[in-house]
Amino acid sequence: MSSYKAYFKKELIEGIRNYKFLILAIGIILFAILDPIMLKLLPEILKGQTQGVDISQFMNINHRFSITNYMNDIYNIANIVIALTLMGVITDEIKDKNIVIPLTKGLNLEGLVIAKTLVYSLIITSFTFVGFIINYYYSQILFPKDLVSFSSVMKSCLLYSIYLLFVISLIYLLSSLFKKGIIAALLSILIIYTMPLIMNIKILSTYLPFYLIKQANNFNVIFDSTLIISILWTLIYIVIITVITIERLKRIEIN
Amino acid sequence: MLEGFTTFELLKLFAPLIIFELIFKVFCIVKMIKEGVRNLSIPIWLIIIVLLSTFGPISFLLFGRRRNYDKS
Repeated sequence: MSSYKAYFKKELIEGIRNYKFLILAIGIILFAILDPIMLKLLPEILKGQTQGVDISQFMNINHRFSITNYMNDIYNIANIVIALTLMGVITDEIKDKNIVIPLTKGLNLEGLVIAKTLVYSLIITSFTFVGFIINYYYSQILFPKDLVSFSSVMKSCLLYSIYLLFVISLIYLLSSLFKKGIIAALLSILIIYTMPLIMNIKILSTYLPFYLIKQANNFNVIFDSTLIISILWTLIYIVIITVITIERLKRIEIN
Repeated sequence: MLEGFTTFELLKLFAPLIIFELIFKVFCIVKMIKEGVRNLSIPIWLIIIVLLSTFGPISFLLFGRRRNYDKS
């Protein structure tokens, strides 16, 4: 337990020292502020761009649209930021030979992987909730019409957080498979963006983590049996991926 | 363009972002001068940090910042 606590503290210090937490915070929270402002200015910008034709009249920008826009940015951009930030979490440990220090002291790899996963899961989940709350507040100020209830936004945020936990574990697995972090990052980005395509296969759709994103974007999240099954499957994937990561690390020859 | 907004209104809207962006850029430039760079040269990183909004400083922290063990 003491070794696990030490791993946890080490990850926290490393995250602060390497500015990983700062990058993640910016990648997730910045768009929470930026998106509603840009949406507010969008009709004016479009008026200037298309002389004579007011395209903004065809757009119905309201509170719901503003939050959906932020959700899309979380999926499109925050995923890339997370992949690029966490790509070296395990590869760097092996490359810089830091992993040898705890192992030679008889400490286990399970604790190391779980501590890493837990630290970044907590940080990313916190940032996601903060981002959603900020976005809700800004969107409410700038678009006071057709307000979406706070509870439904929080439900969507919860689904996004579970999905991001899956993304973290996937990046860790790929990071343990490849010597270069950038390959792990690119491959995880590829998998993340390929998932919506696989969603077209109806039989598979509920068993994929992307189903959570699809449901979250509806705002009307009802925790029915289909959604709970999807959440459970995502959690099972996370556990399986983490176990494979640990097993993979055990087999790596650390020299 | 943006006739519906006065300059003051626009400044008020963007104030948090402008302040954040400035602090972030200055932080990265100071870091670059103090600790050095990797992958690209200082002038190129400076251009990236100054010209690319948000993603410039982020890419510097991810790929350009010289880490402690790079120095040895």
